[in-house]
Amino acid sequence: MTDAEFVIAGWVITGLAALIYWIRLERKIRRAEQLDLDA
Amino acid sequence: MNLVQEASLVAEKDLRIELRSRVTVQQILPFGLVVLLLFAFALDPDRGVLRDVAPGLFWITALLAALLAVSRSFAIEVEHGARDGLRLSGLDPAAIFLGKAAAVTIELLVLETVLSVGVVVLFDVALNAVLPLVLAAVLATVGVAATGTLYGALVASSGTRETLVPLLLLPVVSPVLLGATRGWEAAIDGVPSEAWPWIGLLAVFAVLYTSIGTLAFGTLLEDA
Amino acid sequence: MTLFNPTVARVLGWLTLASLIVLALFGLWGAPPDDVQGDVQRLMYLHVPAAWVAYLAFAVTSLASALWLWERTRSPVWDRVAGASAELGVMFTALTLIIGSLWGRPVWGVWWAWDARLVTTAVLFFLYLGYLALRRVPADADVRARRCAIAALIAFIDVPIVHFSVTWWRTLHQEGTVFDPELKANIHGTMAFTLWFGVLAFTLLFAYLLDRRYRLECLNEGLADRQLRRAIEERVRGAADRDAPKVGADR
Repeated sequence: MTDAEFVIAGWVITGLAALIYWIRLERKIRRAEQLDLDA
Repeated sequence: MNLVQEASLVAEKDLRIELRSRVTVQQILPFGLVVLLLFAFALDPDRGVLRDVAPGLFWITALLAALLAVSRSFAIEVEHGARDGLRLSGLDPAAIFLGKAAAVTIELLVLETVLSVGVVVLFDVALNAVLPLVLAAVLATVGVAATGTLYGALVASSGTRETLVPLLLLPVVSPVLLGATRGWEAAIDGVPSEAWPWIGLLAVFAVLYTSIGTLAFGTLLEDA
Repeated sequence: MTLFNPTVARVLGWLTLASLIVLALFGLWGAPPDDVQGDVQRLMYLHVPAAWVAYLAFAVTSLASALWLWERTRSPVWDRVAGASAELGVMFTALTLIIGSLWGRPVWGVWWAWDARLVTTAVLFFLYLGYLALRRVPADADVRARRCAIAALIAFIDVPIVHFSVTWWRTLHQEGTVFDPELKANIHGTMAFTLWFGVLAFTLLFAYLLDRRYRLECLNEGLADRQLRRAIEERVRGAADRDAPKVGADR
């Protein structure tokens, strides 16, 4: 791997990790809020 | 009864159960020796590798055995529904902690004595500088036993006790493994005087976690 | 139901996004490449902030646990904060280790080095995992909170001991130069700015995610409570119907 590839890999992994975690978190919140309203 | 007397009572009870059931001697000790044997299978016995890493192998084996000993320490309470009895006995929870930790310490020290004979015989190690070796071993064992007893109580009421204690305990006692191994290395083949700083670390750990256990055990027992 | 005021949280979210974009611009383009390491050094702008948040989250969990344990400040808020922070912490710790590995490979030639800081971070990772495993054990809310709070404090006290012993261990065994990429003597102006900006951006990210994760924790707790209450109501109603005298049935 070239140096640039390591850098890209690092930034992409970080970005994806944060994004995926945030999306999943928001979806769980939506779902829980829905159940809250249904109650 | 004061704290020491109550603790001795609990320790005596645990040790007497051990003498009768002989679990440590008949199950945990052979397990430890088997692990030592397996290290020879896994590593190269012919090139002095085992002798070089013997302190590390010894202490890892001792740690694994400690996991079993701690688990056993709480299993004997659950076996005859004794846990509630322990709480209702009116004994100071700190005494229960100290007593159980002391019993585990003694069992482990016996174990380690036999394991060291195993290490001398199987890995061709010469145990010079006995004082630092013994001191390091005692302090390391107290530290592990105290922390293990603390975690044992922490997860005692949950069904997943068995697999959770190792995950919780091992990272926390990693400094003990470090200190005990380096201390033994220094005592065995290096300069024994280099062992004393590590022994200091082991002492700090032992005192710290014994204190934490003494303070926290009461709250933990309530919830169990 | 939320940790911060909702308007504050929304502003925080946008600020976080903006600062992360700015960080990427500076980190990948604005800051110059390092004299020695070249472009690979750009991973520092992620690794150091991630490590900072990993330990910040740990501190938050520990502080929240202590506040819960102390009777005068006990509140379910602290338990939720502790749990939420721990989940974020384990993520940032994993990120720290992964980015550290990606940085170390081209610089040191190895995927992992037994450097004191990396080892301590690895131990921190496992301490987090243990805490989270403990949180997942089903128990009465109070019992679980107390159990986890004590576990968190045990771990909190342990980390300095681990750090000290590991640092000492590695200095004794140091053969050759100390691998310390981030403590370079000559960090140029833009590089230093980017680094500190990264720390700020990640801190904002942590605060925002903490607020959201806290909200989820509240919602889940409320849900569990309502489900329990409903189950109890149904059970009670069912029993009442059974026990009620049936008019005309046995005459």
